[in-house]
Amino acid sequence: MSWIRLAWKNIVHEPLTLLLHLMLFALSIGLMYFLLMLNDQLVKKFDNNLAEVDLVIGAKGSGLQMILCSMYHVDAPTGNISMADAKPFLNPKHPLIKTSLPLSLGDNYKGYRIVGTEHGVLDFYKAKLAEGRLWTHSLEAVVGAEVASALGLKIGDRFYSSHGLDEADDLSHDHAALTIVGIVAPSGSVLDQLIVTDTRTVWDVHDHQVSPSSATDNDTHDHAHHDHDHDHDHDHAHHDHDHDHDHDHDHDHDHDHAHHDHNHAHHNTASPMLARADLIASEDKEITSMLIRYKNKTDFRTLSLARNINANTNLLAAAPPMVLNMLYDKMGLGTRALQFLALLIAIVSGLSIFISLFNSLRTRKYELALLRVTGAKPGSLFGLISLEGIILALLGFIVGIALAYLVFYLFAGQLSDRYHYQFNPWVLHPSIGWILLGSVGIGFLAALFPAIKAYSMDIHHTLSQ
Amino acid sequence: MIQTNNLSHTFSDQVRIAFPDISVGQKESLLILGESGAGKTTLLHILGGMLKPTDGNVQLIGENIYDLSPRRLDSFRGDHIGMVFQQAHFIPSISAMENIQLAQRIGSKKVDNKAINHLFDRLNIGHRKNALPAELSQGERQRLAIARAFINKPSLVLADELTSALDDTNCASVIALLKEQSEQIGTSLIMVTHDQRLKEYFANSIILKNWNA
Repeated sequence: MSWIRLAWKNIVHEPLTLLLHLMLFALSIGLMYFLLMLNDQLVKKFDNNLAEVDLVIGAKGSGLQMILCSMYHVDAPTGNISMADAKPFLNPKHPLIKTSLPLSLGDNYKGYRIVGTEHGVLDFYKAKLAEGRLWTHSLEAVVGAEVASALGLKIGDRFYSSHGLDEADDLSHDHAALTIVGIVAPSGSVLDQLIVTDTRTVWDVHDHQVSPSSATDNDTHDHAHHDHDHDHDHDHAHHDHDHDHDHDHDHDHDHDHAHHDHNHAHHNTASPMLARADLIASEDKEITSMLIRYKNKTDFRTLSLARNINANTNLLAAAPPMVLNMLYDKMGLGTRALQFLALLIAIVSGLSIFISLFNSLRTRKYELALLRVTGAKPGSLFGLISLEGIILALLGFIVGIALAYLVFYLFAGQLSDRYHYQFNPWVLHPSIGWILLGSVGIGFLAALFPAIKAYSMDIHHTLSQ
Repeated sequence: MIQTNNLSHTFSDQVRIAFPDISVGQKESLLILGESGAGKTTLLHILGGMLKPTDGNVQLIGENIYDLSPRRLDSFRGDHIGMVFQQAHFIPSISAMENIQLAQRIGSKKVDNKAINHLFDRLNIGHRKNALPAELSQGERQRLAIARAFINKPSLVLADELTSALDDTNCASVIALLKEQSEQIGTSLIMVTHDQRLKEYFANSIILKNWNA
């Protein structure tokens, strides 16, 4: 019967008291650790996807929303911008801009966002192809590693995109199948969870311009509950017809193409990918936003570029580091408040252990005195009471950490389902050692005074009572 | 085996009690009788190394126990002195067996389950060894307390008011158990009590006078 075993037996002898201490301690440790893990992984996710982007330019609205949408793909776009407005910033000869990347959003496949852009997107995220090639034509797509793995996609597979940024089968662009020509190697960036294609694909899909290389053999398709407002006026009800038409995209108008089959007349030549010059020339088209890298970040003209754009154009410009710092500050405030709450619970928990041990000394004084009579040294009693406090805290720590991992696992699943962001719940946060040390410290401090009382117990006085 | 010389103790309120000299050899027993307030428990605690007397000394197996350092005295007590009290207190969270194993371990002895089982059988509590103290009857608890006092084969066993709450039959039984164990182990036995019935069981006895009288 070692002192540790005796301390353990004493603890489990009072199961309700043990449960109370465990609940309090585990709650505080669990909350603290969960917040640390979440904060850490969120910041890492944000940092991984910064991709050295100095500026994001898009439609007027919220800068944070635009950055979350364009860089992290977790929010809706602030709107579209016309190529006429975007053109100067996509011009390779812009004196302040080293690299720019157009982004066109609006469609998804099974919840994974499809981004119309340029080949440069891989360089932005320092990603490489794992297999296949980059697109050379419209309706050719390259999928991120996670998309390929989650949906079991491989080179040559074809799929229909859906309108919108969330999965909704009834908004499927059934008229235009995208073909997978490449799979990106895992990069740990947002690219893992995207389907990237040429800007022209996005335009074509929404304009119903389908290249023969990508069109399905059977062009029969269903436009159930499409939101597109088509320029043409025709009856789609249960008949086949050929048409060649351009669609304007006004998503505020409902257009019911329910249950009709129709064949689109295709361009007779494959639509090659857009060169930057072609993109810039398409002044009547729209894109969602642009990611910008500066030539010289310290140039005074660079420093005032965002301000000038915001003041003098129809566009919104926001610097990711600045916006993210504001976000971290806001997040930090919430996190700190919750961490303070967790600390408060830990202190209350420590107090409850202290009160419990202290009160138990009254009922245990004879048994402790008897231990002294049988030869136990004062230090042994000090150790016994301290051990009880420490073991209680350690149990609380173990349950709390397990709880944090369980909640994080469930939370990560939710985030993955909703945003396709992968959080790894099974990593050790570097602070775990400190939390362990803190827990042991709280347990020891809670037991210290009762332990001192036991240490300094006068056997004669106690047994004479 | 135990010898005291000129023992006296002065309490914080300046009340002083002087005790008669005591000498008890191996396997011998002594009854110390006295009314409440005569200083029986004080003397017992002095003899047990738990209360340092103001004057005098206690010699046990040749050691003046109050010359020992507090740390050494604790070990000495665990090794050489066993005590049984009227109210038997045990660690409530561990079994009867574990309570005795703990006493063995604290007394710097190796846990000897065979010896414990043997002692339990002799005290007729072998069938209750896995019970928690709270599950034992008063008589079983008293026998368990006797087991704890004797498990480390001490040189001296001190018993305090052990029989006060017992009827004549149980009183005789407990005294018989104590004497039997003392005989077998070769221990000196000192019992302090106000229970006059015990005079017939002890050849040697002293009476403490009430210092308040």
